[in-house]
Amino acid sequence: MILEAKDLNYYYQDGEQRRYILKDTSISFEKGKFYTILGQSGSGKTTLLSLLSALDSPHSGEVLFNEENIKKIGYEKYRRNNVGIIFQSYNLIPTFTAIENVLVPMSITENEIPDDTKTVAYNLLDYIGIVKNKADRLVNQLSGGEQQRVAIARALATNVELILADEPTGNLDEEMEQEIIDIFKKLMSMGNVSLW
Amino acid sequence: MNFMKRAFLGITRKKGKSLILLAVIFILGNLISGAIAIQQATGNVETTIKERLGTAATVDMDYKAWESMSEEELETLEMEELGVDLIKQIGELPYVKYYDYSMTTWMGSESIEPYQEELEEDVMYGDEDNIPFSLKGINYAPVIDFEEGKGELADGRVFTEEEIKNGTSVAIISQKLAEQNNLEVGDTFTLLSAVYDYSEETGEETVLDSRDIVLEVIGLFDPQSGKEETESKEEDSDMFLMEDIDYQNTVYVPNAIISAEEQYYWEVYAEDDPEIAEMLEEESMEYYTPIYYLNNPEDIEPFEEEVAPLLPELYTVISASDQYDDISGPMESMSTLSKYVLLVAVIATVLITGLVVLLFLRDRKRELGIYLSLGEKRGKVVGQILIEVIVVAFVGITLSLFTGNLLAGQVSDTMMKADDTQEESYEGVIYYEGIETNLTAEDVIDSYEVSLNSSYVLGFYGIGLLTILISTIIPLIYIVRLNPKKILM
Ligand SMILES: Nc1ncnc2c1ncn2[C@@H]1O[C@H](COP(=O)(O)OP(=O)(O)OP(=O)(O)O)[C@@H](O)[C@H]1O
Ligand SMILES: [Mg+2]
Repeated sequence: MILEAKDLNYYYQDGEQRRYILKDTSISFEKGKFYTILGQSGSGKTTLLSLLSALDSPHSGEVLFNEENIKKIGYEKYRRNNVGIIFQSYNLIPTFTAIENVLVPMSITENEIPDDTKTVAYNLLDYIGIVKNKADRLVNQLSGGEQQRVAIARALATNVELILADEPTGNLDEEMEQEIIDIFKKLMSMGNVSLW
Repeated sequence: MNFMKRAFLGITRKKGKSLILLAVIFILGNLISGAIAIQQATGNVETTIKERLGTAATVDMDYKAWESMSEEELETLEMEELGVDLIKQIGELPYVKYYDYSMTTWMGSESIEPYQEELEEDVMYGDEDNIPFSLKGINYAPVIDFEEGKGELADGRVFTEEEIKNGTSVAIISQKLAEQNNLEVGDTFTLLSAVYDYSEETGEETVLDSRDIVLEVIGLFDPQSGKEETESKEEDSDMFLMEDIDYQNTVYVPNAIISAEEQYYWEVYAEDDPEIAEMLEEESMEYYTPIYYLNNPEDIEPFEEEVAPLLPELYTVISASDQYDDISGPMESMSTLSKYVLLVAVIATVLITGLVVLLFLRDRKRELGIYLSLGEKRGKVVGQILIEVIVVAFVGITLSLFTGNLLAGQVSDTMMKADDTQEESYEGVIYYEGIETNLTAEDVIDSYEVSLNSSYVLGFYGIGLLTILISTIIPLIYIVRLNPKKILM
């Protein structure tokens, strides 16, 4: 198991009452597979993902990455070295170019990555369909689909085993959605696991 | 793309925001810089002027208080004399470096000639003055005038404790007076101690009685003070010359010598006047003016505070710094004003930069959340923003350092000039030996100088950067403590 959630509880305090979003939720994911979680709007998909990606902490229960509690790894370190996160709303840095956005996590991670980060980043962007001249543009001068690709490239750039994505195609039209799905499929063959 | 590079991009990619921050810091910086500059300058003035005024203090009647008393008050007033015991008691205070108290009198002579010098316009000073010699009584054997540099011992020696105690007939005279009369150390000379009677009707003086006093020359002195100034200050040179001649004709003797002569005068008067005779029975007729030299100018204030309760009614401590207080009006108002400006500026800077930085950060909140979601250390996220703000602040502060200084110079120039016209008059100022009185408001203003010195520069950078650091760090810490989900999702 690359990722396991055990008895996760997450709630919002509603006056005196606790409104549980996740109650004793357990789930596990095998390495090298591609998972999709479906659920109604408001059912708690984003909540679960935020716990699995250590952007938030559960009220009880634990998340294990390669059998190790992520709390023990350290949330920051886990985010830095073990997981790539793709958000529904891209969350790119608008004042940076596409390539700069991809370079940011590369300077943060402690994972082994090639020294020539710039070339790697350009290649990565090129691979998922952002050509060089677009890579040098500020991200807010790119389309939604292009921005999402940059976000994907950023998640991949640190050479992680696990990619967690929150409705990465939610903001895109069908054609673009298919393209993004194709990218993930292509990535699958490289042995990453992705959650969607 | 490490945090330093990101900080650099943060500044250059958001030029508008950086410029707004720069402008705010620059404007507030001018206020702080100006206020500090004025504060520093006024502080410097006080120390330099007080340094120049020296550490001399004396105790005398408070003439101002005396003048303001009503007739009735004056009638019931019983003036006490300043006793030698009290003079000594004050002299023992820890602030006092050394002190002396002396009596002064004037005498003539039939055997020696006073030192004279021709003044311009052929006026002879000291001509036809039958008591040209000023005798100055000494209790402090090494002679304070020599210690303080008014004169310098050129030959012979100063008094011994024994001579002071016993009132031995020895004297220190000026070298020029000695030359004039062919006197050398070891020689003796004779002064005429005469008792005059002044007739109010005729305005004539008649000698009631006289006696000779013979003094041995033990030392020769050379006047020192004001030597260099003579040439430069043409207009004052006559005045100076007169003072110089007075000093050249001064004879230092032990206090007891003068005291004995005073006693002799009173006895002569008493022969004619039974009232005086009665008075002589009751009290001593010794009046001393003490002079205290303190260790340093800062001691004047505590010295005055400690001495005041010891003094008899209507006496007060008179010191050089009183004079400073009299003429430092413009300076004081500058100083208080700048204090308030500084306080207001610092508070305004904290609030305004805090607010500007907060707006600036609100804009950046998502970006900070992204760094956190990518696993960046909180410290580095804080570091990046701090670098951005500090770099901008540093530029703003550096610019305002110079402009604020210029501004302070301008503002204080106009303020000083405005205040200058309200200068008080100095009529009725009493002059005391050893306490310089030639200081004017002009001098105070002249020694006021707004300048960039290192302590001011450091102080300014310190206050400025600290203010900005605090107003940045507080909201920043608040943001990075949130979990990334709260910021991003
Ligand atoms: N700050 C909050 N306070 C209270 N309730 C909240 C808060 N944030 C989210 N919720 C609730 O938590 C529940 C789960 O939200 P979550 O974002 O995980 O849903 P989701 O499955 O991702 O929905 P969607 O498909 O619309 O993105 C929702 O019912 C939402 O109303
Ligand atoms: Mg969601």
